[in-house]
Amino acid sequence: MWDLPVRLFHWALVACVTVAVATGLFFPANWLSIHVWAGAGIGGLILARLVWGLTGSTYARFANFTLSPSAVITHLRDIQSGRVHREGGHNALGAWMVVTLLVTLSLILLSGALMLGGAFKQGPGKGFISFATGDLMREPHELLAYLLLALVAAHIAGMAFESRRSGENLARAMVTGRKAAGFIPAPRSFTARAGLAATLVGLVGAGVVGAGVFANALPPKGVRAVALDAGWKTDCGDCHMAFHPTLLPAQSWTKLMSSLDDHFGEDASLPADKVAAITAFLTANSAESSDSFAANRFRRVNAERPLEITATPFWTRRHSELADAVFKAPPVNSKQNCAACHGDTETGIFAPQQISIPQETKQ
Amino acid sequence: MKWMILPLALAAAVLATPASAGPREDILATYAAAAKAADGGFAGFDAGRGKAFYAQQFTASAESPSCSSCHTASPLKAGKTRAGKVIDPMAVSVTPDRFTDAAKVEKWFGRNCNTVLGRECTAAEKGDFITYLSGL
Repeated sequence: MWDLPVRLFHWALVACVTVAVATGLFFPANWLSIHVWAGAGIGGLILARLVWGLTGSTYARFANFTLSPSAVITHLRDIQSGRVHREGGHNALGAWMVVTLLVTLSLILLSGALMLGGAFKQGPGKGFISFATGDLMREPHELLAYLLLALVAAHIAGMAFESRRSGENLARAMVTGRKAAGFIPAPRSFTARAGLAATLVGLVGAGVVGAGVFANALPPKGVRAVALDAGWKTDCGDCHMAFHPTLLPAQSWTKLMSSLDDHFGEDASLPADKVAAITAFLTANSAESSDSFAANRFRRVNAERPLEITATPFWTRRHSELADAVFKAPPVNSKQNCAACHGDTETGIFAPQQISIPQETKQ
Repeated sequence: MKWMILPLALAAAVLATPASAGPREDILATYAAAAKAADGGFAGFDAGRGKAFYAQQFTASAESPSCSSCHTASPLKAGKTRAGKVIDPMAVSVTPDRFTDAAKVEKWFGRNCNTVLGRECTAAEKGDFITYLSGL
């Protein structure tokens, strides 16, 4: 006998998780914003469910969740012996599944928020989370997502199994809220306190959103806006996109600027004063000077080709799925033309949302 | 038809005036003086030699064996650097500010001759090149 808020929560959660999983695992990186908003939606739903678990009607209350080991053992024995116990709410395994799903989802949200703030310098965590912390969350976030998928599969399998065993269509019950007469009522009966629930969700929600908006306005930790050098822009930009200084370590820039007479097979010499000025700009704002995603990734160069951004392990890995033709055909023309697909090359941020592969070359 | 006399006379006067000393003419004059100094028999720049030079295949660079490697076979069309950046057409008729900034002209002859020919270009080659591209 699940009340309307429980059922709405369930199906809204299904929708948000579907979007989050699809955008996280299957869609291109420029869907990040949708992925993040799906996560935020899940966060809001979890908050509402936690409040409703303390204020809702009988079968919504956590107080009626049969989580004790003895309840679980009894339920398992029932399954083994073929005895059917139709519950008014969740049976012991179902209740554990709800708790496990909520905890797993919360951990996914936490790891995701840390990743978003630290690694991508976006969202409420960007002002105080380092790249290292954010990057550390990448694998847990992914592993937990796979765990979530396994839990969802188990949840559906368990629901189907119990529906068949008990003769009660539990999926339909989660839609209509009705169960056939004759179920075992919950030990304690509760009256829903909708007003209190709305107040609590409103207050906590407003607090969380307010703090989020405030934190989102903070400057990104360790990433300052680089004032672009005019000489760098003109002289480097004559033949190729002027690459942001955070895209190579200082050592690479120094080496590159001291060998302009043989610049990847071309004479790109500049007067000594220009070389000195551009070198100073590049080394003062090199990859080591920033905690941005790109700066952290491009700090690691290819030992044999330390001057080439496109030879770095990260660049190679991240672009490996793109056909060579994408780079050779107009309007991209070459691997050096980052700006053809990345809309924010001038900031050096390279946000996933700013990626757009031109239609003409898309495979 | 008498009314046309004055305009025609004015037009004739303008056309008859020797190429006024614009920046491109100054650059060419400088190269002519250098060419004369290097070779006493120098008898002026030649668009035909410039055209051949533009298309000539050199051996110094595998990636850029010729001017036309980056600037394309037709100077009327936009070229492309090896890094994929578009280069405005070389022909003055399409890109009017070509060869009007002496420092820029020297910068690119300096770099590109060294890359493509493996040596500096002579003043005669530079003048022929500009003459060819100015007359297209």
